[in-house]
Amino acid sequence: MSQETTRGDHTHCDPEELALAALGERTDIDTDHLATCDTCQADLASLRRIVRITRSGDAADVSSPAPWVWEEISTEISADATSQRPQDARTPVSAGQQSPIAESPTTEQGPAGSDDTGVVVPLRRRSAPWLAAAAAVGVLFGAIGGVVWTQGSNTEPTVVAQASLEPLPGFPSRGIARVQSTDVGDSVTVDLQGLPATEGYYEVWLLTEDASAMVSLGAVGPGETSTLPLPPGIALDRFRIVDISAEEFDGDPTHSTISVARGDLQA
Amino acid sequence: MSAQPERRRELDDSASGRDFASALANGDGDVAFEEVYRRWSPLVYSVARRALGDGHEADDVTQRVFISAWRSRNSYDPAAGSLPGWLMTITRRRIADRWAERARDRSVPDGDPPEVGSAAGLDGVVDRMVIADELARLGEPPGQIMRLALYEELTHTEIAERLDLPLGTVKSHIRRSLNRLRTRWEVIHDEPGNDPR
Repeated sequence: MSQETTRGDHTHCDPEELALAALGERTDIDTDHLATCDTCQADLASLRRIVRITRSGDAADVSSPAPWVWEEISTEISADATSQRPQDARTPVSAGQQSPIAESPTTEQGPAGSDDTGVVVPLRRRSAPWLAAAAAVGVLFGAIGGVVWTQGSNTEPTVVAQASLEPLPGFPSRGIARVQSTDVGDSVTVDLQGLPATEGYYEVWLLTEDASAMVSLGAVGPGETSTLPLPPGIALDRFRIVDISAEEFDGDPTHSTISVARGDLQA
Repeated sequence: MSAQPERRRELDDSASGRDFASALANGDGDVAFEEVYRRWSPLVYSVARRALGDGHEADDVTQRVFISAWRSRNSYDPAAGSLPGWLMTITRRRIADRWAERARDRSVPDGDPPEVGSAAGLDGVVDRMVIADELARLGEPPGQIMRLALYEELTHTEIAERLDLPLGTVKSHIRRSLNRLRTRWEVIHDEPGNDPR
């Protein structure tokens, strides 16, 4: 492999060798050229700065804020969008289009009017035993099995937990999963954006933290909001990871091992 | 001399400043803002977390940052600076507000002691978290290769052996990834052009 690369009239140092030199490795870099070339020296110096910054502390991890943060921001935005900048508000939904039951879980993006009804639960103020409560509701009322609350109930759903679904390497998809509790059972509403078109389908799973056990909740399509019933009595403190997998129509009911997005359920 | 405009094309931001500005102009600002939040809230939160030492306070500051950003959204000019650079400016201010509140209340924060307590110290935290955020987005195997190279300080030969990858593959990942980290850092850094409230 050549040690040098040509840019215009000059023969500059090989960029791969420059990168290794910046990391402090011994390299076969063309030191004669480097000594006289401002461009290569600047290149090396700026790469070294990045290495120095990264190594100036322990391995830095990036993590996400709690789900309630976006809920509150979004409430604020909805209020602003209608009150302060009416020209920015999206076309109001007419009374005829508004389906109070089916749309209630996702209204936080809508106009402020539909937002003030208390659908957005202030999650951080909820007390801790939501898991037990959610599980108990599942045990008591979940026996009907397969009944999705949007079809069978007029009760307002309560969001008891949610997960911000973050993309996994190679996939741009992200979204949010909300666990809702009503008097006829619990369900998960999954709202995904950026799912690539597929020949197969996407499937929603609940996993334990170490992925040693998993439960399939059902299929979701790209670009739609899906509400799937939760198995009655499932222990959400154990099955706390929401995982979206890319599946093929191959008749194999197990997880394909290709996850496209994932998030941790939080109260 | 800066190679930034050319380098910047390496970054494929789903929530770029230009997209956001045009969405605002089209009246779709609230939808675009959610994208901005999803893309950049981990960086804002992680900087706040390191500056404050407490996750709950970092949540609060993250909320304040994005509400500030939303309210001053019309002052954002993509020509003057990058979107994450603008968000980092707001983040520094909201963290400084929080520090001032603590000083006034003489409150002792819960949780770990913060890494820094001054605006100057915050620069280092922002720099490190910007790079950590981009590292987390490299995907695999480049992300793993770079963590081994940067944090564990393995040579490219050792990394190739550890991951059972060809030497040439490891070298080319290192070059591309290091360039990308540099581009991200430059894009956020060299543009103090926007002055949010």
